[in-house]
Amino acid sequence: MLSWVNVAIFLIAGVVVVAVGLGMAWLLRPSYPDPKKLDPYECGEVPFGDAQVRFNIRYYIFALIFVVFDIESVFIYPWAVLFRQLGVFGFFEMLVFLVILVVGLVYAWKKKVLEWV
Amino acid sequence: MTAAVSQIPLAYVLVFGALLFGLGLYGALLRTNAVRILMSIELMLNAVNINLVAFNQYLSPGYVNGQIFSIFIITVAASEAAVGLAIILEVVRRRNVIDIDKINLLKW
Amino acid sequence: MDYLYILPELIIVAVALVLLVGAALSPKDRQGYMPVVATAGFLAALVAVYPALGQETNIFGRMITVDGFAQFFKVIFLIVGVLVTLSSAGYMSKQKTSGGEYYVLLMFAVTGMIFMASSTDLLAIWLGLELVSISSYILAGYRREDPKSNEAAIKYFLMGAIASAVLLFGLSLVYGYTGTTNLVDIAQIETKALAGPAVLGVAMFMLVAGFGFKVAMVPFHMWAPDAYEGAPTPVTAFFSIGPKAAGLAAMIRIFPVGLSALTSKWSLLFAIIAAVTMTVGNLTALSQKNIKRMMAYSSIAQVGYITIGLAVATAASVNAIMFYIMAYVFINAGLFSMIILLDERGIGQKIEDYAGLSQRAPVAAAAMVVFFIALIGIPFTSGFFAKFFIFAAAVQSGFMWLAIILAVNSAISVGYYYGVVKAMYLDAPKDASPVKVPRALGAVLLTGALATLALGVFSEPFIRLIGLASLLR
Repeated sequence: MLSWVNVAIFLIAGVVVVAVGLGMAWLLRPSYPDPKKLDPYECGEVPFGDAQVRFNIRYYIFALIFVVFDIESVFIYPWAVLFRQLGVFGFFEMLVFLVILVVGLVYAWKKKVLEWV
Repeated sequence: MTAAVSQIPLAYVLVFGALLFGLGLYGALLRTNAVRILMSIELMLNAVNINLVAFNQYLSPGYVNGQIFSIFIITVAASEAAVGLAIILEVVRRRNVIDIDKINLLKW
Repeated sequence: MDYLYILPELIIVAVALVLLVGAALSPKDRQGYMPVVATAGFLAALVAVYPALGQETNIFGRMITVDGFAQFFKVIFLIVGVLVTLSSAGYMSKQKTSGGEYYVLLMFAVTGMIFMASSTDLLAIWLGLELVSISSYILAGYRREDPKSNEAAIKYFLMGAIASAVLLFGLSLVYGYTGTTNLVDIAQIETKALAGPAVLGVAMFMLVAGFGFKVAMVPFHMWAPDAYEGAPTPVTAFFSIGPKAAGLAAMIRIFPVGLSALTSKWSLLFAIIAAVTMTVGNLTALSQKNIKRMMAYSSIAQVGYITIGLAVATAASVNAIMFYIMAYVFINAGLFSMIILLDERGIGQKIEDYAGLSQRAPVAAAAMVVFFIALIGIPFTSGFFAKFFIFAAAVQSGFMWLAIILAVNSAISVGYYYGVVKAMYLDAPKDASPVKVPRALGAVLLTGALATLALGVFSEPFIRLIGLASLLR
């Protein structure tokens, strides 16, 4: 049961810290309202257009390719952890795996998927 | 195994997994938007991952069979989603429908 | 060296990767070499099976097994690869979408099928299944400009992915209960320990649903007619023999071998599924007008017959399944070579389009009659022995009622096969110009017909071969 008390303390402490911080700021700061202050923050750039636009369909293709290659790298991590135990043979096995991935990448590249048209 | 994990019984994790799977199955069978169905299927696969990792951690912590299985599921699910989205994209381009109830050239 | 045992698979994957690069680099109108290379790859892999024949060992940490059963299916699947490649070449060269990737996907699918039949680990079986499935989804939608093909792909994909997730949940429960994914280890757990809890019952249902979907057992067959009709015709030919045979091989490894402790439970389940599948398949096939759709229901019915073998689950019935699959591969490959030809020539996919085929292509029409006779199960064809062995195994083990349903269903199936034969021989053709059969398709047709007759007349050596490769003893 004790661990749940810990969780509760964390929860309450989290809420209190945020509330106190925001409350203090609200009490101390001068107030100069300006409509510009309500704009979303976009890394200092002046925002333009609506956030609810349709993305160009080309993004999907990039995203699909990215997801596949990104997730395959999950196999490389356990391999890297055990690299010394696996030895030279393990190295070449991973090389074969990567070559297969590269073949896929070459295919995508030659099919002009990686170009922005 | 850390102390915090051992205090949550295995049954809780399994019930969570089963609920997640049920939610996914519900969505996959009753939704008509193809992308939503795909999302529901991913939910089902994640429920399987939770099951596998939980079984592994609670019942045979010395081995990693379940964890390896779940890594393979994650990767295959990504490939499956990529292929599925590509197929859905192709259908939307040709027919401009995403609702699977309206994709009905083939019947009986 | 473990890798020497999977040399055939390595050859196919290597050839497929080379073809993939080739498909990207060479222009679309210069890809005529693709089917030749693919056929050569399959044949080379067939040769590479030879050194491992007769050996029994486990490789890759007992994930893959090398035994007679695995070798038998390896050879069958490679033959499927050759036959489908040969029957696709002409059709694919006429498509707008280039044909290169088609052969790559086909080779990947065959690799997955081989792994399904030769794995003794749930993880590896599932990986093989996914390799087949993902390739199949793309193959079904290969004619991108055809809305029917799109539709086949999206339906097959969505239903297939759901079935795969259900199957996986079942696998996770089996793993959780037994603590292992290895089927040999699972088989060694005591009967009482396995049969007790309801969890394993649920898991078993999920496994049956997942694999039942893959091989199109009723009530998980809804995708099959749509996918068969919409997919490009050579792909339909592949669907009707490849993934089905692989799914059944994996089911033999999982149910009668791995989960033998639960036999009393799944045996009844399979018996009911078999009865329903046969009947639904045959009755629905009667009213079909499109021959691809008719063949879809016909193949559902065939799976129903084979499922009897699973329900009986004796050494004799498993051998009967193996013989059935061997016979069925040649029958359907041969039959589909003509369906592909008529579709490719623009003559059509409807049964009425086959009118007067006996005058337009007499040899081909005669061969088709042989295939229909074999599918019905009339003597002197492979189909007779296939059904007879299943029938005998069922009667021996006291499944008399299933054997009777099998016989009744075979009689019903005469109805729709006769419809095609009648169109070919009795109806007058709309256009009497002769249909020339190209060499590749002719080769498939001839191979299919000869194998069907050979297995029907000289079945002795093949039965002995299956006895050697048998999984249950």
